Amino acid sequence: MNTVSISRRRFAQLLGAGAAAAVAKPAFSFAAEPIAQPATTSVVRLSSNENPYGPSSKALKAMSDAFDLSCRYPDEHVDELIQALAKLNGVNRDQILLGDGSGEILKLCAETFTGSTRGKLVAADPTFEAILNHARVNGAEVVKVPLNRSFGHDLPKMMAAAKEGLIYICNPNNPTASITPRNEVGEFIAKAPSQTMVLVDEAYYHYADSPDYESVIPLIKDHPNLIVARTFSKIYGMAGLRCGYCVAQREMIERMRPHQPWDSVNIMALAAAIASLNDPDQVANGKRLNTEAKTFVTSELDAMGYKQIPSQANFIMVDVKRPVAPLIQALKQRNVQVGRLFPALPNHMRVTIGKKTEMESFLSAFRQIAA
Amino acid sequence: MQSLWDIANPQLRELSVYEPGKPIEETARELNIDPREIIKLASNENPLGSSPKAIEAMRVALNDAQLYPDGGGFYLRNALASKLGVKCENIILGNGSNEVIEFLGHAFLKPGDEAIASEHAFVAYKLIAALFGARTIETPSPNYEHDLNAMLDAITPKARIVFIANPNNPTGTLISQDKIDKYMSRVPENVVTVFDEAYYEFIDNPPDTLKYVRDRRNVVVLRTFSKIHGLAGTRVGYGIAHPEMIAVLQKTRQPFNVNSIAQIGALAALEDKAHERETKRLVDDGRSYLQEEFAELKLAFIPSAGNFIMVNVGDGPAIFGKLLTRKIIVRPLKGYNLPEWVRISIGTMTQNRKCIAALKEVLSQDRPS
Repeated sequence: MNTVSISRRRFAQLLGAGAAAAVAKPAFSFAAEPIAQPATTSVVRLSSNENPYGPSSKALKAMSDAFDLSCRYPDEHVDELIQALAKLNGVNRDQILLGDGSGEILKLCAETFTGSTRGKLVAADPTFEAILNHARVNGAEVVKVPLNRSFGHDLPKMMAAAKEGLIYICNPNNPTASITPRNEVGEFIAKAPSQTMVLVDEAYYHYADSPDYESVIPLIKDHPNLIVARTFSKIYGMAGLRCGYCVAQREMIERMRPHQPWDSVNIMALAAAIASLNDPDQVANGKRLNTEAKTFVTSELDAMGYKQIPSQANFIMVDVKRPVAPLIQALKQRNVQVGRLFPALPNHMRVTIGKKTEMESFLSAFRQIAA
Repeated sequence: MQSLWDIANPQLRELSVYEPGKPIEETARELNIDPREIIKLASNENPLGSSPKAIEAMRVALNDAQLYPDGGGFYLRNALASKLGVKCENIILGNGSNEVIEFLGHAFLKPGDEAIASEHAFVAYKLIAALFGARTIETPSPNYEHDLNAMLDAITPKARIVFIANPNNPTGTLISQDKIDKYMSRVPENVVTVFDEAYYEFIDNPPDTLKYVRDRRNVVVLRTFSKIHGLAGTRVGYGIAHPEMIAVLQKTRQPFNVNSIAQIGALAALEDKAHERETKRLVDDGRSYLQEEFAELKLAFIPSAGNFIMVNVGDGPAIFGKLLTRKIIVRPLKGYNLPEWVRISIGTMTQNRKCIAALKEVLSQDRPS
């Protein structure tokens, strides 16, 4: 750090987020690496479906206190979080598995339930793609089934395509922000053959308010082949900390557990997650603020004639009525980062719902480039 | 189908689960005492705590906890590369160095394969091997040291990985440069050698294995921030290998495996020479003290290169239990097939003295004179 003068604050920002731009070009030495963005420019980051309001103040305090323990392995606090999550979800403690983000849960599911002998992965197109890669690492065939006309999962086709292995259902779905209705999901789980595992990823659960949506965690007691993943990265504002979990019957958890290195969840994440669950305002405020900012930006876009897929998440998928790739670049030049191109929907732009001021910046830049 | 175990991979049935050091909170609950009274010398943690510079940086980093980490670990990998004299492409970060062992299993082990490790070696190797259906060949460990010739002799056409822990946990034994060089001159090209150097920074004149990385040999060197830097709770470790090896391992990891706070803490810890120096001094002094006391007590011990010492107390689990009632947690080694021994992590001098005093008490109960 001797050739570049940089504040710790700025440094933290770079490491957290902005470094994404710098990562594209690895350089030989740290000292010689130019800074990704000039320190004076503020980038509006609407690209990763993060929570613009951050973690609960209780979580921040808990993490700060946890630094006294950061020299210790984190195993002591695992039980406390598991207990809180078991209570929250009305299940037993042995039905919860924590992960290094729900990303690790997806990896564990792919490792445990897919492979050349264990069966293929069936997923929607487009959907959150991390698990597709993990299944391929395991030598599994990956079958992509396009979403139906209302951007829900085409569950009959997915079931027809499955044979043992794992069916992945992201609900609400990323990148479309759409839901698959609860009656369809319920019927599907009831019919799914017991040798085929069903993983429902409910990362955006808290943001869905449609009467057609509900969590399938209550179905777990009757369905040994059902696993539900949740995360602390979204409504709890902890994406940097890496904490997620899944709920399933005990025997499934026991099958997944050996695939996980021990001490998978760090002490800050454990402390913050426990504190967040004890803060009743975090979820309520997060939902309310998201709805307000989403209502604002969607009504403005509607007025401009840009339709969106109805959003049940903290992001929107806007039909930009032309190839989206150049628009993404043009926004980036105006310091507004939005989601990448999703090849299945080349005319749609994924925009995270930030704070209202950030949505104003987005709209202002979007008006310039879309004009 | 009677049970899901009928269709699960058969190797998982027999797989033992790693047992970490007994937690302080759990012990405090059982003894009904304040956790602060308990001295935990069971997990080879840093008795000085985390690097203060790391904590300062991590506190600031909490302001951005809602943002996903840099999945490429750009700054930390570059800082490590520059410190170690290698390139960014030579480094992979793990959620602790244990995770890199898992990447290795993913990349190289499948049912029918063999991994080679020494008897009494760190248990993670055989756990990971079993997970991928591979068999672990454990070579005899005369004098509790790795016998690299025996490990070479154990290599069959099915062998994929040789795990060499240096210093080894829990025995604390160190393998010399000379023996490593001889091993490297004989090991077949198609076998990956893993040098697990979690305790590297505690060694006075550490053997150089990075030269084999630079020579593009099939070696992976593992290091961690859990020990000398005192960041065990934050979970960050790394592997060093030639770029093609790193590229293979990168394929097996999840995109955001190392959290953002740990990355920033680790980066600051690398700059904290004072904490590193002080930790090593404390461990060196503690080791001398403990080893002298063990000699005085006529207890056999293995001279250690790490921040822990393995000592023969006759009945490991019994002594572990008795020390526990005296608010001291050590590690029994039955799981390592060392039932007479316990492993004691080196603490602060106050903690070391209390540990020895308690040990004297419980041993005198056992050996009425």
